[in-house]
Amino acid sequence: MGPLIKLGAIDAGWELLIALLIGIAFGFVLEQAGFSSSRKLVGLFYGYDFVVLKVFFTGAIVAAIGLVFFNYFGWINLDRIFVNPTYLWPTLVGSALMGLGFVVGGFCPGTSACAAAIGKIDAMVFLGGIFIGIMIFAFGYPLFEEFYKSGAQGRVLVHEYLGISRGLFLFILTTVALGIFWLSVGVQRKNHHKNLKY
Amino acid sequence: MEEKIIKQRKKRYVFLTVLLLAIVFITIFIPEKQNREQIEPEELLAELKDETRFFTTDEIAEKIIMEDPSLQLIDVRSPEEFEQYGLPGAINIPIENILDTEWTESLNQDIKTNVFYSNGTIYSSQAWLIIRRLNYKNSYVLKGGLNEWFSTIIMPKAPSSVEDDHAMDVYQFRKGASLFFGGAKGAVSDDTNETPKQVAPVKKKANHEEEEGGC
Repeated sequence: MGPLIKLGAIDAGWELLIALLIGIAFGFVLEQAGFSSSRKLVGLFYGYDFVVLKVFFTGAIVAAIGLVFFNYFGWINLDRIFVNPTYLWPTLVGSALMGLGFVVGGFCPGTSACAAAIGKIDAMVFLGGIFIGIMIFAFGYPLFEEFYKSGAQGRVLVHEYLGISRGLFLFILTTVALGIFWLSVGVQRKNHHKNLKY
Repeated sequence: MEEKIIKQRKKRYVFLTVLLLAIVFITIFIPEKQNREQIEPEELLAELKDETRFFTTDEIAEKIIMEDPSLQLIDVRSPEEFEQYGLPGAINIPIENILDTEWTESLNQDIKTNVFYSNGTIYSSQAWLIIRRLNYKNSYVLKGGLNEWFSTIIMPKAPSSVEDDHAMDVYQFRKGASLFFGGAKGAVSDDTNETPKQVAPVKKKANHEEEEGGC
C-alpha cells in the first residue's frame, strides 16, 4: 500500500501541499510543547530539562515500532522508503556543528522558525544566521565538495550493519531510550531550578 | 498532596515503560519479509503510467550525434530486421532472448542508459516492463520507435508558418540530424514549405553501423 506517493496512490503533484500541511501541524505541536522557548531547548545541555530528548526520542521509537508493524501487515513496504545515504565524516562534522549552533543559538532550525512565528526577535536573528550559512555553503560549494562527498556508504541501516534482525535492534534501541529517560529524571531533579521561567 | 501526585505520575511512567517494552518485545519475533528483489506491481503500474521512461527521437538523435558514451541503444526486434536497419551503435537483443544470461551484464548495470526500441513502442515497452520487473536500473524506451524515428529525424516535416520559433528550432535540428544520419535530401533544403519526398538510402549505413554496435 505505501509509500503512498511512490506507489501512485497519491499523485506526486500533491507532495508539496501535503508537506505544507504536515509542516504546519509539526510547527503547531512544537509550539504547544513549549519548544519555541530557548530555555527549555538548551535545558538538555545544562541538564535541567530533558523534554526535548524525551519528545524526539519517543517520536523516533514510536514511529519505528509503528513502521515495523505496518511493514509486517503489508501496509507499507520498508524497502521502498527513502533512506538518506550515509556520508560518514561530513555527518559527524555536521552534527557537531549543529549541536554547537543549538547550544549557542538556543534553537534548532525547526524550532527557530516556530519561535520566529510567535514573534521572538532572537529566533528571527537565528533564522537570518541560517540563511547566511546556507549562502556560504551554496556559494562556497566547490570548496566543500570533496569533503561533502567523502565517506559515502550508500543506504546503510544500523541493524543490517550489525547483522542483527530489525526487531532485535529496535528492542535494544527502545531499552536504551527508556534507560536514558529514567536516568534523566534523576539528573533533572538534581539540577532543577525552582524559579526558572520559560 | 504534592507527594501523591508525584507518586501517581511515577506509577503512570512505570506503566508506560512496561507497555512500550512489551510492544517492542513483539517486534523481535516479527519475521523479516524477504524476497523483495523484484519491484512491486503497484510501483510498476505507477512507472508504467509515468512518461519518464520515454526518450524522444530528438533526444536520442542528439545523444548519438554528440557521441554520448553513456547511451546504449537496444534493438528488441528480430536479427533479420536489425540486419536491415538499426540505429547507430545499437545492439540487438531480440525480445525472446532478453532473459538470456548472455545479456544480463549489459542490462543489469548502473552506468549506461539503456534505451529499448522496436518499430513501434509495443515490443520495446514489453522489454522495458520485463527489465523493470527484474528491478534493473536505467532502462528507457524510445518514444514512437523506429516509425517515429523515420518521420521525425530521417524525414522531418517542416512546421507550418503559424507555429512558434521553438517548432522551427526543432525542425532545424532535425534537418541537421537527418543529414547526419544520411536521411532524405529534400530535408536539407532551406525552403520550409517543401516536404521531403525521397526515401532515405539508410540501408547501406545500417550494415556499417552494426559492426560498431557489437562491442
